[in-house]
Amino acid sequence: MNRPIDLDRRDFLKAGAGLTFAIPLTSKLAGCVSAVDPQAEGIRVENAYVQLMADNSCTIFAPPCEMGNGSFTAVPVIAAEEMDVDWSLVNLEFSPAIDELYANPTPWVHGNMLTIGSTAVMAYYPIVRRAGAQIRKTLLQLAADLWGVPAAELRTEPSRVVHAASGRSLTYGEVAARGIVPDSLPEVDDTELKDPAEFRLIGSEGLQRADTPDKVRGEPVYSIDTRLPGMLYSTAKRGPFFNRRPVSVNEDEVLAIPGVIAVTELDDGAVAVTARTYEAALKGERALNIQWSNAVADASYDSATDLAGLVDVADDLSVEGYDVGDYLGESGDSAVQALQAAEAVFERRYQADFLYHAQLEPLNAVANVTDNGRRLELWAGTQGPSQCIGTAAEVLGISRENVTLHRSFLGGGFGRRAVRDHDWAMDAVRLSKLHGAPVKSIWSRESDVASGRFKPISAQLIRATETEDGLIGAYHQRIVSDAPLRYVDSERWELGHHVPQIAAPELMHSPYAAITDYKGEFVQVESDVRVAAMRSVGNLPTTFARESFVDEFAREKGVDPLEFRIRMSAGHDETIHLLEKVAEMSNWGNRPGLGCVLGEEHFALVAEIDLEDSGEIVTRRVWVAMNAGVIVHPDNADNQIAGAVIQHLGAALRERISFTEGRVDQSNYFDYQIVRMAQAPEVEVYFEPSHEPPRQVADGGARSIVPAVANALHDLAGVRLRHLPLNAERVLAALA
Amino acid sequence: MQISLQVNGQARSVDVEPDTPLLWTLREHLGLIGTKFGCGVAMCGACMVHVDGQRAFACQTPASVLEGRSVDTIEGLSDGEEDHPIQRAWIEEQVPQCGYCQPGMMMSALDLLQSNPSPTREEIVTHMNTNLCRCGTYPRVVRAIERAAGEMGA
Repeated sequence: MNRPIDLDRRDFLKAGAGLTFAIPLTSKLAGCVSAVDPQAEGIRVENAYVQLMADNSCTIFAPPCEMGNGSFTAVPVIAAEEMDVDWSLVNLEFSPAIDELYANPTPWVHGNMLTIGSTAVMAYYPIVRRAGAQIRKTLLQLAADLWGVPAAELRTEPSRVVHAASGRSLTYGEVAARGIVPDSLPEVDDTELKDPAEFRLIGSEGLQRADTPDKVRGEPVYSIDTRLPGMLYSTAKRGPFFNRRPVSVNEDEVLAIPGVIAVTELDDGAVAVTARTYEAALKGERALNIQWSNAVADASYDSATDLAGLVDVADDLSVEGYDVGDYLGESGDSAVQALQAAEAVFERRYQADFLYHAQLEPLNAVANVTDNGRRLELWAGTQGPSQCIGTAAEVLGISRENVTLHRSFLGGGFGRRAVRDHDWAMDAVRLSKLHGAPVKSIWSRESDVASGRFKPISAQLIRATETEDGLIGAYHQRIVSDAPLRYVDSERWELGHHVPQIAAPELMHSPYAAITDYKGEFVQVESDVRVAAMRSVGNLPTTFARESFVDEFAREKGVDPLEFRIRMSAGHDETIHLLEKVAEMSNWGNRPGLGCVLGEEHFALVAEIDLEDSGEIVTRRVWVAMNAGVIVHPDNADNQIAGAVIQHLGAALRERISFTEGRVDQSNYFDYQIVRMAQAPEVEVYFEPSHEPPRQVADGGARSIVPAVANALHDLAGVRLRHLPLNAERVLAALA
Repeated sequence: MQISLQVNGQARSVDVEPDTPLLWTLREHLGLIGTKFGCGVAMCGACMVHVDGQRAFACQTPASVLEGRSVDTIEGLSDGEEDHPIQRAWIEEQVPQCGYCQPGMMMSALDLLQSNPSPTREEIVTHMNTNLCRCGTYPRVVRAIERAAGEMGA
């Protein structure tokens, strides 16, 4: 889609006219959009991203959400760099939620303001650079006019225009205040952008995140921190599967609990308990006894049986799936033909259990519906603010202009808060309308787990042929899974012509140069289990399977697995360089318990593990060598990679959601076990210096930790586990 | 029931049910939202506060035991003018990502450093294992505690 953003000032004003912008609850609510008044006093030069004030201060707008990703800082840094502004004079604000101006330009995001897939810095980089450069170019021209000298004789220093020949200089604010600002700002082409070698802010080691001080002081920056006078509290339970409705509810019993004022069936089938306090609402939730529709049939659902069925489908090649290469116009037929013709085929199967997002901030929102249901003020931490507004407007049957969304920081998103229907936030909206009062809705942890939207189970089959040189020649990887996008966002699912990208982006190509005949295949299966995108989406299982397979192949041929990956990458000098780099960092090969992975062409990882008698894998250290292009904010990029490695490690070790007799077996952090500090390894990250445009950071390969642990386990203990997670029970069974 | 307690050094009185967890008393009755709700079952540590100078899960501390007790939260960590050395260390090490778990992390860290001013790495990990971070900031939490220990001991 890559819609060019209109940097013209008048168009920005036009787009802004008539829109309701949010007013923060308190000035401390740093996560919120503050009043963006296009005619605000003091603004001298502005476009969609930057407002320069006569007092030399400057506001930069960040479209992406802030859920820990750091884009609230990194994206404005890009504009500040090209504008050459003094970073200490910059205020940061979230942009308003206007798709036409601020949509994530990534093609598969289809024109939505969504912060997903580690795309924000990568996607906004070219646009925001031009936005910053446009302001700088305008100021240079204004100063040239003021001084009667050619603009070419001027240069900028942070927040100053300098004419070296005459020794004159003015601050940006002074230039803007004295000059006659044109109605239409000049166009900027790519040749007018800074040479990356000249960057002052981008890549600066000392750069700090703007959101840190408020976060360490306990300031109210999350939607759950919002408090309004007269506010009611709610929690809700949902059926175990998609589209279930309550058949009977023990309403009287729950209503008898002091403080509970209502038990309500919501339009989407949820049962909500509303109370005067949250503690009373929680008591109500615990007392709820609900019979759900379809209960008899649902009670037969068992995830282990379901997964076994997927394995059968993966094995049955007569069930044809979607040739993922079609999306790129590259058919996988040659791989299939080569496999048919081959005398020997190397074949393996892999499986993965359901995963749960487990973001620390429970799903919540505060809604205040006023004006007889005609207006809504909403506090919600969302990865898709424009979709959130649109959904709320639909739920209330009002126009988008009557919805005001306060963009809070998110206490973790990981895809859970990128669902178009915003189920959690709409609870508050529906209940506020019903009760005519502000409502804070918080899902209990148990409610979130029981009705989570999980990363789907998957089964995979990989088949390959061997070349004369002992490498993998033809390669066919087939995943059988649900397609989360159909639940996440039916509109994007249609716009993308049902390309199951969200289930399998990594399947589109192989990172290995040696594989000439490649087929990635996606077989979609559907169930009523709610599924969603979750960090690295389909890449986690597909990378796990591929990199386990490559390791198995190498070891079977008696070749060192890292050396084998280098041989498989002949001609890809950059990939070989990164593999050699990570080998050097980890002192590869001198001890048992090491596993290596090539996550993508630009991402190599080595993990070192130990194994306890209990069967628990202990991950000691992890090394990453990555080329992510220009690293806008190096310290944050390091934090993102280390953090994502540690988060994904949980999928290798213990994290799993299972269903027995139609119910989720897990309920909270004691039985859905994410990585704790004692399991977290040190992660050493190397970013290859680069002037190429930014690529994904966290989602650019950190999931590689999962196959790295499997490969290290084989290295250490000689057993190969092919079913995620590699928990103690499965490790002990394999060792027995 | 009406209870009287000290919160961050100030006398406060609040009317809640005897079984109301301190978490909700702080967040929704007293407006101190720095203490976070994560799990409600003492498994994540996002609600960590101090009661009479020792760390406690606010989600597991009912109002009925709080009469006359002294509660400290993240809002009381700084002296009102300057950040506490732990907060400075957290900023210096750029610990938070989403940040939601960090107030609880810092209150746990304070508890550690009050009883053990120069903990080893192993002691840090053992003590802090009560606190979950889904973003995976653990290595930075360790570094920040080591930094704060250095500063507080100095």
